[in-house]
Amino acid sequence: MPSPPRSSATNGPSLTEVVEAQLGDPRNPDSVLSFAYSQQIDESEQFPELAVRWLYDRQLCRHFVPQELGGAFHSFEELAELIRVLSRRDLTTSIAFSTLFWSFLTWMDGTEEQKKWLADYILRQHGAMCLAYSEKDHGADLLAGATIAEPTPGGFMVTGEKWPINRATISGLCFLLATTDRSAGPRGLSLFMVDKGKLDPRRYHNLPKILTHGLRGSDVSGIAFDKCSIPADSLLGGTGLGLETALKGFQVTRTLCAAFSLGAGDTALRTTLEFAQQRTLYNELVVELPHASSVLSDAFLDLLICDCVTISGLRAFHAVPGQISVWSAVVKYFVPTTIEAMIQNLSVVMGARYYMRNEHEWGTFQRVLRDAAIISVFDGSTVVNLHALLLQFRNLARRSSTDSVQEATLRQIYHLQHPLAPFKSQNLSLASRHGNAAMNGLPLTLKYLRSLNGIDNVEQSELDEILAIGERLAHEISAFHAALSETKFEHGHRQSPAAFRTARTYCGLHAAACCLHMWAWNHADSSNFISGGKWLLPALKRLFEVYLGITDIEFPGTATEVIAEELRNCHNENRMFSLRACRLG
Amino acid sequence: MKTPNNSAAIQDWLMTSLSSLLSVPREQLDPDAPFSKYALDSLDAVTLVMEIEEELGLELPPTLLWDYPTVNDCVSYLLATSQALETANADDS
Repeated sequence: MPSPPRSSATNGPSLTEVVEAQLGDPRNPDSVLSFAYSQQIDESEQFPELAVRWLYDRQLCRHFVPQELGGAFHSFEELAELIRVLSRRDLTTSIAFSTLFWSFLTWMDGTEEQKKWLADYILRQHGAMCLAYSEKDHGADLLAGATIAEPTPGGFMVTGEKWPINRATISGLCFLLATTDRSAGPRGLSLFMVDKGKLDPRRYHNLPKILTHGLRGSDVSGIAFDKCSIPADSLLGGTGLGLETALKGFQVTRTLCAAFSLGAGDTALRTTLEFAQQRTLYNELVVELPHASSVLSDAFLDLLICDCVTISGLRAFHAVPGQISVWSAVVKYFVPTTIEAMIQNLSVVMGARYYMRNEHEWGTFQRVLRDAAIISVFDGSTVVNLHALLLQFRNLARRSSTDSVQEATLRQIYHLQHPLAPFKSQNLSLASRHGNAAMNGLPLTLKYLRSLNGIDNVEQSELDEILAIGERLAHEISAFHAALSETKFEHGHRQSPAAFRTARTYCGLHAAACCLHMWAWNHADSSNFISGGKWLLPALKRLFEVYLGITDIEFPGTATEVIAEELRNCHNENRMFSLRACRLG
Repeated sequence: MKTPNNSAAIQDWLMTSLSSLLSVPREQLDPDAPFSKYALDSLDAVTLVMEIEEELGLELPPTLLWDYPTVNDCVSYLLATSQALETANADDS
């Protein structure tokens, strides 16, 4: 058996670098996850069986399984590295493999026996799973589900249909949400880990593959049960605990979903840059044309901003798990929507080729554009996440005191070299009692920066500008919280469009705070592009413009050229467009 | 706010708070009706617990209203909690 990759928790190469080295250059058709393979499964609408098997054979499934159960899960940040590497090559494969995310439902709420069984199922049987929550007539309204699990002497009898479900057909395990008590409201739902191999095949069947706009090779189908008996030991957590476990599970998966978008965004930018460096128009390389250059640099900035939001969101699981109801909603709204817009913006540089399925690098651009467009929809749509945030607004405003945030907390979330505490799922909560450390901790980070008396690799004038815009951001956050505290208690699903716009603004403020924190707590670690901070003011300017409508932020003109140069360097040196800028295969 | 210390006072306080938060006239609130009757879904119920926490200065389970889905159910829980707190405080002093 091949030895599994080393973890970045050790002093070896990062997981990104190890897996990248194994997979090689995706432009090489001989690579197992090449763009040619991606094109082939997309055009033939075939499930990426070979690639998924390769990932299991290389034991990459270990990164989803806790160490105490024989796996190699260290942190959500590291797990996201793996997802990002796969996603930059082929989203269909990455999303099919990553239904392993749902194992966290069992790691969180399963019995010791259930955990051991699932670990064995994944590590030795190379089993896969699906999440059967949605129903055709009820969408995201889980409580309205019509699937029933009636208690029987030996377990439960299930009747109902789940649709659309990723990997409903090509998986052996089904995490099923069903009603066990119609009169118990939110306590009427229970969650089951159903081993399809133990079911009477006459009492359930899989529904046909759904033809989709993107992810065409995916097994998006469904599953129907007809008085199907499931054993008592398939119940997870206890009768009536299904909705609570499901919502906490979404906190995990919604944050991890950002890694799909980051991988897709990397490839969209890389293939566009490659094209722009080769294409000549008006006797000039496209990459040298000011408009194209600006679009490319802005896309790079978008990726860096999204990286700040995602990495801090993933590290927050280990530092402030009780706040994740807020962080996960921000990440799941902000990152997919930002990267979808970024890819759309890049299409202008690609010209007509953005639309072609068999041109420039195996038609990768149009495939990424189609495949990534669903990330903001699954596992909780944009509207669902903004709604989850606006429900918490009064609570967040009340708990916006800066006193509750400790420097150690900010260091753990933002300082990339800082070791992470083990994840304790029991500390996840459906609502945050301590607000949001990204927002509430900004004054502390500004105080820290002011205390430094200068920074080696940053000119004093630039530091002054960063501090000035940081103060402005802190003021905006404070005013935002003050306005929220005056709002009414919101409930139901008929909130105004203005309330959703406010939630969107909240996400923009959170993202801006994350960028500033990320630079502040890492600037001293090296003398690379990220620590130099030239990207920070342009990133904040972009967020202020898009989310706050503030357009008077200025930054030194040299910053634009420094960003464009770093983009070219990352591309030429085959490094990821990210904070860590890991070497690629 | 200090936690009211008897059943009638807690019910009175909770009915007044809910009337204001849900914009439902107090006389239309039925203390034995499930909260879902007032268009309060599962996540709204979690949010409402945060409001009650703030008013009472108590830390409550976010799923309190899932487990105690009517005003009177909730009153029973809050009464038991406030009495337990008083006992604990008395023991401490």
